[in-house]
Amino acid sequence: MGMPTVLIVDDNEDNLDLIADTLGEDEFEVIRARSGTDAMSLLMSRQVDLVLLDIKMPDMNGFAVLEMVRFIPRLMNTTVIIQTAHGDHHNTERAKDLGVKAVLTKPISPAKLLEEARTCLAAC
Amino acid sequence: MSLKNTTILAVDDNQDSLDLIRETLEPHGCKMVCAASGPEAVQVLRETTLDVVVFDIMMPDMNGFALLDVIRRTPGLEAVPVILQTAYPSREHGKRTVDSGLTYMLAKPLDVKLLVRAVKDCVRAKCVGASA
Repeated sequence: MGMPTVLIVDDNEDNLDLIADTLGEDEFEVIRARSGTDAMSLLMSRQVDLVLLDIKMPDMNGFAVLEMVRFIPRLMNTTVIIQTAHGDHHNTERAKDLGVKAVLTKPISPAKLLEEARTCLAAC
Repeated sequence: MSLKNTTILAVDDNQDSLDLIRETLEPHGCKMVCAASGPEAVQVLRETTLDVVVFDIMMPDMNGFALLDVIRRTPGLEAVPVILQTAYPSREHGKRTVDSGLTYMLAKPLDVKLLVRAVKDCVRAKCVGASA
């Protein structure tokens, strides 16, 4: 079995680098999207095992990505972890209603990120 | 020109705006489908054959630019005529939408006569394209 594919979605290049570096290349195949629309294009065209999704992005935020993922039959069971600087109660509840496995608040602890990613992928 | 046998999708998070578009276009004979958000619109777009899409730029979660981008990247929808409404027309908005393949841009508050004319132009252009 090949490495699981993890899609990181964030409009901030530094955050993409940080998360990609944390996950490393030995355990995961990491792909990146810099916008919600790019994320949807990648999800439609590739098999993705886990999505690490930012909420606050211009034009199309993480909730819109989540809503679209949940109504597309091939994607509706995609495992999603939210990574956000705005992990307040309202956002957390909304994310959970949309079937998100975990909400990580920025700044993200590398150890916590790896633990959540491994736990989610083991449960798939 | 009648809009009979045409289906038009209107997308706006404001119910009053959706009602205005519906009440303006339905008397011309078209079938109206409405969506309250960008993701809901994409769901409709996947399930319904549409002749024209009318939507607002300013919507929460997913704005009109993102919706236009998704529409243009969806097989079968690359050429669907799109009419965008904006309360804040600007050169930057104009350039972004033209680059994304916009058909018409209308200022808000909506001039309903202009909306009808734009929709009819879109349908007419589609008919000409289909018969060419």
